[in-house]
Amino acid sequence: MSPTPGDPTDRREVLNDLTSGSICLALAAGLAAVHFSQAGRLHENFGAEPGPAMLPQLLLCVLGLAGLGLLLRGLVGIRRARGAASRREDDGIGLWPVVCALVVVSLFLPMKAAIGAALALVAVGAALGSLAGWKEERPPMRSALEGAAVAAVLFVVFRFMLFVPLR
Amino acid sequence: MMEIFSGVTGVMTNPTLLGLSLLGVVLGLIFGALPGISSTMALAVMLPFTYGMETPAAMMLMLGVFFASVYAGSISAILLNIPGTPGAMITLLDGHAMARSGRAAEAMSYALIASLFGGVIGWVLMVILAPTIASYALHFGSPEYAAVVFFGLALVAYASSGDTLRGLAAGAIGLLVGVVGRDEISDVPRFTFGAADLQGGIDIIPLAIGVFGIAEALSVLSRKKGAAEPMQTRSQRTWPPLRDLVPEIPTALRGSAVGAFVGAIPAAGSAVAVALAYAIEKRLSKNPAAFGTGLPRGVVAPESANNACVGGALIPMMTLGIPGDSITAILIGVLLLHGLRPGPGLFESQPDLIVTIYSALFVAILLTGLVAATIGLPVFRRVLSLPQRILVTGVLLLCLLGAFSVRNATVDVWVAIFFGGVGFAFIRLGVPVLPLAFGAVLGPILEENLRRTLMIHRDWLVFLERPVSLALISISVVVLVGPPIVRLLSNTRGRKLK
Repeated sequence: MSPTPGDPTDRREVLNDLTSGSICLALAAGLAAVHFSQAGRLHENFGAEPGPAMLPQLLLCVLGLAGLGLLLRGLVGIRRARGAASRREDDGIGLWPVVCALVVVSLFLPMKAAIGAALALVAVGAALGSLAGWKEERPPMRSALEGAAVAAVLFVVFRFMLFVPLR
Repeated sequence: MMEIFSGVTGVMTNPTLLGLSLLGVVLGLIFGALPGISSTMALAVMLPFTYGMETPAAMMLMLGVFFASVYAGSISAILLNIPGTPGAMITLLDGHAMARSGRAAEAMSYALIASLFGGVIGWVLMVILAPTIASYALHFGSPEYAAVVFFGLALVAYASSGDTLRGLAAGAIGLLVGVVGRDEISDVPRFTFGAADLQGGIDIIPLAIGVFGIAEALSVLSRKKGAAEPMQTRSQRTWPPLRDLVPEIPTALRGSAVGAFVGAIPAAGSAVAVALAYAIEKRLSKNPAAFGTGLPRGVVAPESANNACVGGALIPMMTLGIPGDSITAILIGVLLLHGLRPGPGLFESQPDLIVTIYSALFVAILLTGLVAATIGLPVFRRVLSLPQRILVTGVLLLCLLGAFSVRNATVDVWVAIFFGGVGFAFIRLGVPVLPLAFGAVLGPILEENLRRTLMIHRDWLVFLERPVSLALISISVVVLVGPPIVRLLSNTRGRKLK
């Protein structure tokens, strides 16, 4: 059964098309700007022999065309869905645990440089544990301890059993 | 054949050789099951231990690590949605879907049985057809290699069963990721943004860890409180009954044949083989839409192909002295360390060693089955009985450590985190991530062979003048264009009927 115009699945798909199409176009344009502004040998002898610029240019064209196609399909979809694609089912507020998790894992390397890999990993593990525990409505302290314990075990495995130079 | 039989018996009755093979298998299973520790790295870590060994002993250890780690790549793909190797990237489609519906142990059993089946078929083909397959692989020039890679990408677009336009965009992004770094031919930097760490390019393993592992953990975290859908842990069974296994035999046979032949093509490797095996099964299925939803056939096809590739990859190594990939390059290194040069001469000068290599691989296959079935599966299945908060925390930490372990480089951790965010965005937007990962794997091979072809022939028509590349390109076009046209026609017919 095909989705009806008011169907939320259809609306979400329209919005997904519009968003992914815009991102692809922006990415293609941004990368094209970087590519064409690069000085040096990148663009030398392009016509004479296929140089290092050939595949990137071909791929940027494909990406741009795919983005354009997605955007056009989204715009056609809006008309078909009679403007119902104005709101998403779940808003961005529900994404805060994801943003927090990304921030926490991104802190691993700076912390590793500052306090050492073992402590950094345990701290990151504790933070991730309490974040994941919050989703299950567990006491944060207990979840943090569990996360720290997981981190400690993994550190021992990688550092002392697999000889990964974690310092 | 009798020599090989007596060789296998000889190994089985020699405690030292058997012990080394067993050690290799156990280490291979541990290394392979950990995200970020690839088969190549496992072999590289073990290489120094072979310095003081006799050649047969060294090959026993190394081939044990090799085969077991290739199989074990499926474990993290099934349990954690993190493929340990490019060869396991297709397995996660149905394997992880099975795990999410409480059939993780069964999925791992299917993967193990298919791996052993593929391993044995690949081994048989290696023993019987090595010279023939090697000569066919030798006829491949750069136009054929480029066409094989294009074919592989088309198959991934077909296998990932997503929207064609979104798949195309994801594939283009993946291929663009593949060109980041210094160009191999002209040494010109591309898309490095002036960062020294990007000059060497983006490694595929941290990228896969990000788009599959981190993105999956993030999407678990993004579920609403209380609506968290924990992975079902109470599996009904571990081993599938015989009546379920019998219908999978043709799938395993096809997958194994594909794996052995594609594995024998240097540089094509397991990524193309698993995509081809999966696409063939999907094409032959009466219900192709069920692929990706947790179908055992979706595990059997890629796993049999992936492990048959082991035998296939050894064919050009032994018969021509050509390393098909980084793993066989290390194995060649082992032989060179012991004063042996692999190639046609090896068969005449060292026939005993050839028998030993054949025997070592066969024993490794047997021991992998034994160890994985008796110890591996019961231990690995316990992973899913952990509470979800511990699993999510563990996966994210494992991703960080796994990414760092690839080259002991901090840039790989940043790559994994970045692509974790990208993968999560892809999931939210309904864009398939598989073409992104495969594009990054196959991009450099495609570019190298495409440019080499055009430099030599100076004409794009060369791809249509050579029968193999013409056939591969034609099939790729049909695979890419066929399904949307069929869909369009059936939609038009449906509207007319209304």
